[in-house]
Amino acid sequence: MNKKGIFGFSTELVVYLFFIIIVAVFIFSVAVDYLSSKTETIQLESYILTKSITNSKTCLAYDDGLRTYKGVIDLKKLNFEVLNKCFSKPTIGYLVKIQDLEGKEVKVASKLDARQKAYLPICKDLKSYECYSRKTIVSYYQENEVKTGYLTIDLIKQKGGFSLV
Amino acid sequence: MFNKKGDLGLPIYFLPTVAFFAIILFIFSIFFFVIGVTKNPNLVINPESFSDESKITTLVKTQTSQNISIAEIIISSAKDQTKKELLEKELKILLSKLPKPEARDANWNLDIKIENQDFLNTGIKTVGAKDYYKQSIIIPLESKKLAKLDLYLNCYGCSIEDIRRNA
Repeated sequence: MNKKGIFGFSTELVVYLFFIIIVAVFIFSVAVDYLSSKTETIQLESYILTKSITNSKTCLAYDDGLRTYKGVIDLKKLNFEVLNKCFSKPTIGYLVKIQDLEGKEVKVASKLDARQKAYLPICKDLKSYECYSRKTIVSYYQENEVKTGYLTIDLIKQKGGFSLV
Repeated sequence: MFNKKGDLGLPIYFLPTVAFFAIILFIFSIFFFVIGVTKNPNLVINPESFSDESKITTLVKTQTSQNISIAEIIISSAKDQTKKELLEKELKILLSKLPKPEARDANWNLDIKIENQDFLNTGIKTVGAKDYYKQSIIIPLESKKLAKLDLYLNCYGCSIEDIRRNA
């Protein structure tokens, strides 16, 4: 009925196979695209870190011995030792900066190793690292007074590293 | 060649069918690869969905130029009109200093209601904009009435990325 090609297949079968292959390739591409999609968690991680820093007694929350004042940062606690105890993961480094409402720097501390410290300013150009900056309004305790200012957290994370959550 | 059963065993509809097939593939390619219908935007929890009242709590605790907090001015302004003007002035300064998405038409707003009656609305609202990060706090007044404060970001054209960054 139909003409046979050199390999014994009919031309009709070849045309059908062509369409089947195109559809199969399309379905495969959709599946690969779906499976290879990245799940960005650095924003969520920086948010959780911010909340830990401002609300936890073991982090920077002001504590007068009777109660912990959530959301009020004790500037005396803002140093490497406390940050290291507060949250520490080898693949994540962060810098915490407190500014007053005029934008003037009040205090800064970081939990960064030498490599993270060097990479933080050029993080966007590095393929193996991702970084994120979050700025929020907070209260801070300084010289027996509660003041309002900004808390900025600059986070640097090695891609494929452990997660906060 | 294509108008009868023969070489390709396909009728006259061969070319229109191929064209139709190509169009369907093109449309589905847009759906899957450009729009990304298979990608769930809620795959990562949006910080806004579990945000707390920290911004408004910090705001009402803030000391003003008069060396009293915003909360204290609210309490006294309920019975003194001059304090209300001071409150509005101080709130405008503070709201302008709250971090917000850059390069967007975004403004922080604060609405104060006393016993469900509008008392003060501060901030700028843009037509067609959406409200984000709504945070509320209740302050008891000397008259035993309650003042309800609603803080929110009114933003036109804010993306999920903008919102996540400022949560």
